[in-house]
Amino acid sequence: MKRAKNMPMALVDMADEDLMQLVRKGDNPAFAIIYERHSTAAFSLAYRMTQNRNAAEDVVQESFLSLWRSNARYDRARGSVRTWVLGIVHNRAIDALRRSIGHDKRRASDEGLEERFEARERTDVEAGRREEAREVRTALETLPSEQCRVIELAYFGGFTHSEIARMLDTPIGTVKGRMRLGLEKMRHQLAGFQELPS
Amino acid sequence: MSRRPDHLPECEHALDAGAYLLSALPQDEHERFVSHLGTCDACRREVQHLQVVVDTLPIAAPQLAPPAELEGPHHADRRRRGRAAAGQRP
Repeated sequence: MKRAKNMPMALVDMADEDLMQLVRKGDNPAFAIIYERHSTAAFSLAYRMTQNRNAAEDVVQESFLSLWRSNARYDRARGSVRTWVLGIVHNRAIDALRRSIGHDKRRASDEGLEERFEARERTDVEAGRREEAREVRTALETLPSEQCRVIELAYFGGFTHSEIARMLDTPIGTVKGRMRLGLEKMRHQLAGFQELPS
Repeated sequence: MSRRPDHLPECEHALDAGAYLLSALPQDEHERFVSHLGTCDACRREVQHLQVVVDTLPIAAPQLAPPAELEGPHHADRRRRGRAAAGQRP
């Protein structure tokens, strides 16, 4: 992994979970490494959800600020640091989307950003993550379209089941059923999938 | 344990597990389901079973480098300390 400038070797080599113990004590360099490792995924998720660069930046700033200020109450029993960080980003983005007036308004604006800001693969871990991402996208995109649609509208669009039911003119029970069945099928397709270390 | 995708849940509320994990339940339903999870093993199992998939969804987003001007909170902290050391006002 490329080492960030001025970062002590020992910290750079530490696993996220161990760094979080230092972050809990207010260790700034440890937090800098966590930020360096996960800010690309955080920004990517926030941008995918908000479709707006400024809104995505706000979400990422607020997310990292909240986990820095809260002394990072990370519980390793609940999954990896990456999953935890992205969960915070997802919740913040959902809040931002639901505060905005009219979900469709935010769809405007930053088309083409992907090309300008596409993350480069710098390390083997990043290349591995890109492969992982491809597997997940394939699992999602090969679902029956109505199952893929409800999962995307809910997870990335921030819409509730009743909003989705209205948009698709479909009963709420059917929407919930498609969500569950789609996730279940993805689970089968991703069997054996393992999260890569940081 | 592996199971078929068309496996039927043991509890009628388990249908809400997907919507719950995707943050698609309205606030009142979300709170009811969380409360139900406290008493229903079948729904807890369902949530646990599907959680691993939802945890992978963020990486389905196209990966974009954050803008260079986007800073983490540690940068602001470092600047504040630098100013303090130099005797400047924050």
